[in-house]
Amino acid sequence: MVKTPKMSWIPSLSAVSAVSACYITAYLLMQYSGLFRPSPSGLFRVLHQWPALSGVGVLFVVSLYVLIKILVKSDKIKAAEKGLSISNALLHMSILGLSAGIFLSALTRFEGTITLTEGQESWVSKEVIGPDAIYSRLFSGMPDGKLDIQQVDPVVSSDGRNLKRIFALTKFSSQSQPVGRQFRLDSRFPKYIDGWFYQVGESGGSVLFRLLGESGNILDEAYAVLKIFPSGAEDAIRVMQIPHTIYLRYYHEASAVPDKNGVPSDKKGPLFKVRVARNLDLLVNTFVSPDEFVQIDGFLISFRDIRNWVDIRIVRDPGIYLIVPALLGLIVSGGFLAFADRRKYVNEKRHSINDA
Amino acid sequence: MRMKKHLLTLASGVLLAFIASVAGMPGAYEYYRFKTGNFPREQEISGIKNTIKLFSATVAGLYASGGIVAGLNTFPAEKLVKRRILQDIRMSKNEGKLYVMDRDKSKVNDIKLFSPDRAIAVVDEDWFGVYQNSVTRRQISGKKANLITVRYFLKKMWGKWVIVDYEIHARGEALPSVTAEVVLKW
Repeated sequence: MVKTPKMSWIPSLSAVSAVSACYITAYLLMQYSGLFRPSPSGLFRVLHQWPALSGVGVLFVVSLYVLIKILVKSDKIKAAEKGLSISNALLHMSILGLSAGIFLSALTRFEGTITLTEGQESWVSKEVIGPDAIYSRLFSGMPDGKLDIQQVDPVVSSDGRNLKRIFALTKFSSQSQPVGRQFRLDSRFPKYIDGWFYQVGESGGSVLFRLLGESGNILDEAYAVLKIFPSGAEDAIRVMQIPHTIYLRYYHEASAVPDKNGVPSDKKGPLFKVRVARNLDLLVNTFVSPDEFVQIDGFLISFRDIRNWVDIRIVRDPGIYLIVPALLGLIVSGGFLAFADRRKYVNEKRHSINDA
Repeated sequence: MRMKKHLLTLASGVLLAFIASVAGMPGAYEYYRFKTGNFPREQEISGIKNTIKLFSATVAGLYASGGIVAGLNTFPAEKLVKRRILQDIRMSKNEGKLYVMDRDKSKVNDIKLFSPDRAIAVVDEDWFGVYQNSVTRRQISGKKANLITVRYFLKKMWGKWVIVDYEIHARGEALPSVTAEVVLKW
């Protein structure tokens, strides 16, 4: 009597690896699909969440076990199968490296965005960056650097409505290197400086806003960082001293105002469109030139000295030094194994045809 | 057999990923239902309209009473919104006057839901305002018509829609665009 083999309910190691790999890939795709959250905050932030890390952990353990097994039995492998065995070992080493890199990233990654105006310099610190613009893990450090934004050069589309690229000429110094070095930071490619990556993010217009009291005394004067680029984009200013909201748009030329709607004929040159509301009461809706005062209730406001501001994105992640080579190893070993597997399948098919 | 094994592997991975996506983040399942259409949209829109109505009525009441805060707990507005309104009333009172506002009519132009708990509503509102002496309540200014378009930013908190901010636009002016990214930051 022929006994049918009992089906084992314990999955093989290769099945566990395959399911883990499918799980991690499917999880990443679901996070980026927009079905479970509005928009993910970045590939690494998704990878650092426990669902992804648990799958990575399984891959790490399985790959380590398989790699140890291959190394222990390496002297018993036939010469004809040595190439396949080396590729297998490289594959599992790559998976190990990738998993270790992701864990290292989860422990050490730092991302921060600092907003600076042309001519402004600042040390990079948690207080300057602000809690909403920092992503740091358990063992992240802080960059030791002072940034001095000397010039911002936005490259705009031919119709002037879109920013294509932004360059920021920046002087960089640190506690260990107080003599400044100049770099041209770019919005397209990050720049590596002393172990950290620096890249230009968004850019916009900074305006010197002045609030004066009835007697002409200055109640507030500061650069307001506004998103008023391209021409016609609107942003708002609020100050604690008054309940008003000041909506602002900037046009580099009076002729740039669409339809010239409401622009006084005597206005030339750069213009601000100012709309002021005191809660639900619309008080002012007008065009003013730089330094021209606008009366709102018992106060005067003015705008001048428009300058560019930039976001500088600062990143450090020691995990990527494991992840990138591991990915290359995966591609090479995976490709070789897939080719070897295909050749084996073709040979087996040929033999079975010959036998028939 | 091999194909069957591959399909089983894929299905297991996808199922586990779905469970992890739902369990991994608070509100993920509600957002999934929102995106797949299994969401009481009409009910929420009605709730938003009621919130805007209550907001306008409370604002008018606060201004007319000179800032009596008895009903402040039911005022569907975020702290900074309330602060600016009370600051305005206090500043006027310090000058011996009250600004009394009445809403004549309003028309909801559009309500857009960005997520189960974030929405924008665009409303045309006609208000009339007049200054009164804060002591005698005598009218000290002419009646001013205030025809505006208001874009309300709403967030659902503790089961109720609350106004977290609003923009005032002159009636008839084109509203600048707002991205989902801006709304979802609230």
